[in-house]
Amino acid sequence: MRTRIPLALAAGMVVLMVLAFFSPKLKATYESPINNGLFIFMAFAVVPAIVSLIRLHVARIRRKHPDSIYSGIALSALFATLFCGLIIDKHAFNGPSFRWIVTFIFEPLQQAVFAFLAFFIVSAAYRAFRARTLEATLLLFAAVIVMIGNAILPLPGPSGPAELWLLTVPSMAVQRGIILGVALGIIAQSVRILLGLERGFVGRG
Amino acid sequence: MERLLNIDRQWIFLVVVVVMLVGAIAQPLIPMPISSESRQLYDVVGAVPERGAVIVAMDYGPASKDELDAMSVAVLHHAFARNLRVLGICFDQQGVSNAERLIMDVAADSNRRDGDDFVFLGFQSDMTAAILGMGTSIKDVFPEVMVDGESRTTAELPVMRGLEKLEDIALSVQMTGSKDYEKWINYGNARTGLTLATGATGAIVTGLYPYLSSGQVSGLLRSTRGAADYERLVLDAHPGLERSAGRKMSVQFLAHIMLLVFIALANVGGLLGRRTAAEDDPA
Repeated sequence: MRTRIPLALAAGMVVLMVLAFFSPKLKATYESPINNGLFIFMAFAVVPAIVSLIRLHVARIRRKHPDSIYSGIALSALFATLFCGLIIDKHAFNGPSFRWIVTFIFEPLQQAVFAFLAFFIVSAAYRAFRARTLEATLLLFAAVIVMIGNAILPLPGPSGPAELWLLTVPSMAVQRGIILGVALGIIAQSVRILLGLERGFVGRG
Repeated sequence: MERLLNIDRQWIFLVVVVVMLVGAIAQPLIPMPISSESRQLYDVVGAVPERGAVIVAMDYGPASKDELDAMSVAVLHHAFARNLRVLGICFDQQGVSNAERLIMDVAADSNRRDGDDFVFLGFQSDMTAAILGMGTSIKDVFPEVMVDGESRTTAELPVMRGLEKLEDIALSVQMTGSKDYEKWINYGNARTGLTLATGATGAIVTGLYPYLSSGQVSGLLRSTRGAADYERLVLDAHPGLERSAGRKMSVQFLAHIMLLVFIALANVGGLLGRRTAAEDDPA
């Protein structure tokens, strides 16, 4: 029973959503409530996430883990942000104190971390882009052409700029293959859910 | 030769810093031609009739901000200059504050009124459900919005007059640094015929070319280069936009040259090393 009801619910939802795609009447009747249900589910998902985060870090602090200082910082940041959003800003969407935290703490930190990539990309390119084999040489030439054509100098290609030819002919052919493969995989997975063969999401392999 | 192959990481990092600093104060050395994808996006925004509605979806967080903010600002400036109605959205919860700030700043510079000429619809937690829901009713997905600091019912706003669902929207331009563009394509374009255009970071842009080729995406801004192209196109027709991506192109120019030099050094070192090894050990 613990698996049959969720499997039946999932299969029923798949059938309903597929039929709603082809029937304007079903779409008008069911799509909006189902979408609203998804928003509510997403909101509920925050609760176990926060509880889990708090439990993890509290346990670390109790055990006096060597990195427990970071757990303390994470918990302080969580509660300070909650306090600003719920108490000081009185639940207002994007209130002033919450916005201050985002603008002057969160955004600069995220940007700084992302900016490190510039350094590591150069270092990694220096070590990895070496023409040791035919495949590596082809990759190297393609990368060099795209880099030159994108930011240094316009390069003529078979039809228009050379980097655009690489992006719209060989690269696009591969991308199309990937897109088709993923789409077929999604269809196969959906059929498995519909038939009750996919049981991973109910805790059965 | 060994030195060419083993340049210490600290020297590489130092060169990166110097190049970035020089690039920040230098001017772009070689003007790049405007790419065809950027021109397509400019034309598709230009084809929206006056007072037509455009969704500007700034679906990115702080990590992609430096690459995509310039695109968002240029598209917003273009839309406001053409007297189009703009609905701002952000489906990335980390980028909501930034998206709201951008639309408010550009609207203020363009003398556009909140609620009349534009509205920031905000954020919804499930992007797929939100886009599907907007196909039926935009006001159901975003029932209330903040206008001039006050909560207002979306349906009552003058900017929403005649805008029930995605079919009433002339164009949606999404800026993104993730594969989320597929949701706009699958649920916005494929289901409702919504005209889509995209601005993407360099890391994900290659995945968009099949959709550009099929016509599901009507225009594409490719990373900082695309943003710089778009800025130039907008500035030619509608002055007043501050160049941001255009200035970054000098950093791009020098940084790409630096990268090529490092790659060349490593490969020359490798080639000489292999040659020496072959001479030492002919068997």
